[in-house]
Amino acid sequence: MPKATSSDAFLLGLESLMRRSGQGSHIAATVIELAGKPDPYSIRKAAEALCQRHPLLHAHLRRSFFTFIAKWQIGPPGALPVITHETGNLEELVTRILNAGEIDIFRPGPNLQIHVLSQGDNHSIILLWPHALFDAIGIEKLIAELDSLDSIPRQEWGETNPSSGTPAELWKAAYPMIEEMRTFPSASIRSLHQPRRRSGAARFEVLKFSSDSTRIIQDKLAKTSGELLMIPYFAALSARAVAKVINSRNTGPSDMLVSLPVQRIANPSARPLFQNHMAAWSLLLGDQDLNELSTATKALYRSYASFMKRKLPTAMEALIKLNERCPSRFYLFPITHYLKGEICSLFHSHTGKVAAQTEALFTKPILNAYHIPSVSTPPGIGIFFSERNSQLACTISWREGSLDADELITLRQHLFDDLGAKAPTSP
Amino acid sequence: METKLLEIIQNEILEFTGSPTPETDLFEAGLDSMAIMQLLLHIEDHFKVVLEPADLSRENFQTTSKIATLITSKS
Repeated sequence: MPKATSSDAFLLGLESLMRRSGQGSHIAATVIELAGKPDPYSIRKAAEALCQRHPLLHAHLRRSFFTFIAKWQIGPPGALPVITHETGNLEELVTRILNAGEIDIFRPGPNLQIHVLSQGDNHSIILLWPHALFDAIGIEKLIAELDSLDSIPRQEWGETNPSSGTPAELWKAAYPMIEEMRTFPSASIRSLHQPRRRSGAARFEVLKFSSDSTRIIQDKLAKTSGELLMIPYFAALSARAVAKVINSRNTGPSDMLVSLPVQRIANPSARPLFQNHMAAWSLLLGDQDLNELSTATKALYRSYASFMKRKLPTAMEALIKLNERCPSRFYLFPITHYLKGEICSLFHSHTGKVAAQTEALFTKPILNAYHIPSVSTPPGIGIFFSERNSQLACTISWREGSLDADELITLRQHLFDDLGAKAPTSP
Repeated sequence: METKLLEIIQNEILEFTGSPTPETDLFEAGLDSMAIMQLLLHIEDHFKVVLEPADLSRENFQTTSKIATLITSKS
């Protein structure tokens, strides 16, 4: 029975918030567009082998009565759902399965669904997965072996957080991060969350950029921050778009707290496929920093540098470890307390190349691939970037009640302006 | 400088499967945007050099040897 990692425990806090406030559960989809229709029989055979290989695909979480740490209870391997759709629209399908609540990490049953959608000449495999069990690197590794027929069981899990010690020792190590959180109330940190509006379904829009548009975007990135500083550039750009929407609500100046997931182990081959292995770094962008993209990028980099120089990553790891026994419903309380009801201003990531190690699935070359995470409110918004075959994809995820139609137009337009290129908006 | 830089990259930034040399491809070894940010901080701390956006190219960061050449040119 593998124990939930300390990063899993952090995500279970979000999961608990979503469940208690009628937001479903923390589910994500990964869309893989293929050049040709994959053979459904081959997918089913591969799905059977996948189940045999990875028992965690049929496991559910249960809290230990004594330690209160969640553990995965492995159930008997059954068939993974492979569902083919001969008609329909990708956006409608993904919206429906993201909100259907069919994957429940607290009940026995499969933790992965494989959907196959064929619309004329367009063919996609859509993986539906719970964030409590995978992060983006995990899904990357799963895609790399998705069409394997190997059925020998493997144990691809385990804790990677290096923090250890007694609660008192962990508290001491975590204290710099607690001090950092105590500075948050002096900032006006806001998100798109609107407490008076009922939070609704998970919604998303994928902005897919052509190779030519991607080249234009990369040229602007290179001129603004250097082609290798993608993280502060895209995070600053996303924060500016969210700030634009907040400012349109005339609620006064707002500072942006960007929550960046940081992989603990840079080399994917050195970490387990399952469970979450990242820390969340909270980087603050002041209202004045947001006026220009180049200024915002530099400010975010400075915020990162300050975070590193003050050894806050180590403190954050200790804090995550310290909190792993905390009941999920109380996990986020310190954060929301210091942030006056917020968690951060937006969720953001740039996961780089999707399925970088995989040229084809079920003999069909991969044309494009991107992730569609669902987000909680607060913050009600997530802006996620990835790339495949030199095509940038930007997924805007939000909760109904956090972003209305006019605000989505504002957000999208601001993203286009900062990126320096436009894209068709259908997924 | 090259030796010190390689030591930083090996001990603080990347996990190599074998022994890296100054000519090891750092991108193949997992040098990503987050690792670049860490590396820039180390370069500032150890060599007192602040690199400009135009310097932050794949070409300049391909190997430890190339990064050392870049730092030398900016010193």
